[in-house]
Amino acid sequence: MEIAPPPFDLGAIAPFLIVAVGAMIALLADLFIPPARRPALGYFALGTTLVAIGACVWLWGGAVPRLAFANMIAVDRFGLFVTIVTLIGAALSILLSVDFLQEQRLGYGEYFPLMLFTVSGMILLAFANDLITFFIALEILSLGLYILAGSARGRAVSQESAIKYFLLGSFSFGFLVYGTSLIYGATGTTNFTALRVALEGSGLTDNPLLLAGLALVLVGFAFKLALAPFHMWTPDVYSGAPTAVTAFMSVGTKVATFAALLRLVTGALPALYADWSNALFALAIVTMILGNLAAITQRNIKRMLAYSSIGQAGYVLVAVVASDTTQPGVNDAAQSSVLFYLLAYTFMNLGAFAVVVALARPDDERLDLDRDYAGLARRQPLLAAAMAVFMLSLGGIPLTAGFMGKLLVFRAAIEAGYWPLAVVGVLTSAVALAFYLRVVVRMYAGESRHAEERPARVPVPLAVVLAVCLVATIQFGILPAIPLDAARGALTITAP
Amino acid sequence: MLSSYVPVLVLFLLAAGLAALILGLAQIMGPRGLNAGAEDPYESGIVPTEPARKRFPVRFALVAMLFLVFDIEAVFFYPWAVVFKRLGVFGLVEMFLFIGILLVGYIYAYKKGALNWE
Repeated sequence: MEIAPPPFDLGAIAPFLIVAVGAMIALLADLFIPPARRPALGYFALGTTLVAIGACVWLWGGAVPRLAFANMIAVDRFGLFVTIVTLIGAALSILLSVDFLQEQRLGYGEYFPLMLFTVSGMILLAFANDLITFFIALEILSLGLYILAGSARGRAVSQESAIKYFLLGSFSFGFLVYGTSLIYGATGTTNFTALRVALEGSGLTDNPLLLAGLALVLVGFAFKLALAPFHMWTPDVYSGAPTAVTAFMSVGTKVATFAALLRLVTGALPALYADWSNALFALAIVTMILGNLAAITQRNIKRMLAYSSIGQAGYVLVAVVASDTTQPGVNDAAQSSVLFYLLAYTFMNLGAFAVVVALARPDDERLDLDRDYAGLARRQPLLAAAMAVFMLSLGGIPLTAGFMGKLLVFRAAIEAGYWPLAVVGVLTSAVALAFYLRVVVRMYAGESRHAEERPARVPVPLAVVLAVCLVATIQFGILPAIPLDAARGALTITAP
Repeated sequence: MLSSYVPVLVLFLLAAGLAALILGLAQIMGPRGLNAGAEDPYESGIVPTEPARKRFPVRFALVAMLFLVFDIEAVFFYPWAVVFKRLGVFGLVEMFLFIGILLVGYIYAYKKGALNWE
């Protein structure tokens, strides 16, 4: 008797395959090329991500949405949009790393292959249509990041960062797996599509096993997304990891994991809307308040950006809460605002980290807000101006991408009737301005401590990153129509 | 629905009761005060001969990791071999792809000197 293999649709996972194969080629190439030629691997990795973006564009116009590999993967425009955002973030992070690694004498090692493996996990995460696929994707992405966080082997903070990330990450996987098993126990399936069908109009929605499973899975997500009160690891991990890695993980992980969260709760569990929206409602309020308040007291720019990223995740979560699939208009507004915010966040956050990277010296990473950022405008006016734009955008000042993102998110919240979320969001944004503007004030009003030294030379790849982020941050703030239309066109989650 | 969990509850009560009973008996009948044995890490276990915090070569960790990687290969091979004929050509190609990916890991480990003990 023959066993019929499941349908085999490699085209559907082309972006994932390209990145995974690229990672393996880079891993092998690393062994055979002389150390002096290693930066070439960075450009190879960059090329791989660009080809993968091409594949996404090809799939976007092609036969989507479709399910592949026994329904474990859903290739739809939602996933493709998120994948493209992730790949853009990865490409910019790679450009950021090429000179940074050399300057900080970190050695290339397996840096770029690991980065590509991590990106392949993020892509799979965006397409995961089954709790098992989702879990494996998250594992791929996390394992790579654990090592990348510790890639500055000689520095104690980097080791601490890697160990902390690894222990708490593994811990959070425990919640995810346990939750998955309970959901499977209650419904008999782990597939998102099958879950939705099983829960529709059934008496299962009050099942204690299912609700406990949902709660545990949400805790796992909260860990990965660094939502308060599950954010404790974030400042240490973000500040200890090499800056280029921090930039990469603060952007890519958040984007892909938010996509997976949105796909799970709205694609598989719309029947449990009342339950998960309440839980995420509470998480969103705590996250917005804690993240932004804690950021005020930080003097280290990386720790400040870490807390700021916690606060930003809170704003995205507001729109996730508002994604009520029973009200199509509201749901569309909410989900498109999630996608837009993630895109805007990618550019403005990467831009801010790019400035931090540009200022770093081999002997001193130049992270102190008072000492190293004071008077920056006089010594390096272009860098200071770029940083000011990113800070204003993160703070949500009009004419920047961050403002449009917040506007869309809060409008979606109000349309869905969650005005308390919008009120807390606006108030915490005002608080957040305090620490974002403080950086700007320091740069333009302070006295420089490094006045006698020559300004840092900004390498060409880094200048490209800064330019791209700057243009996108301003363009999305003034003319948000192009990305927003793309986001609105990307709203079909999970085909039947 | 919930009645099907009664055995779990019974098991839980039994476990809790047994634990309480053993601890209680030890409390009532056990000898009091500290003696030499009570200070040991494992009071009723084998007498320790030397401190447990010893350095050992990191190579063992490397071997353990390599073993893990290539052991998974074997775990995957056995069930595949059982249904090999029924899977047909598809199964063969899939397995070669899998071996190909493992081979990348093998070449990497080899070139990095992970297999070199000295």
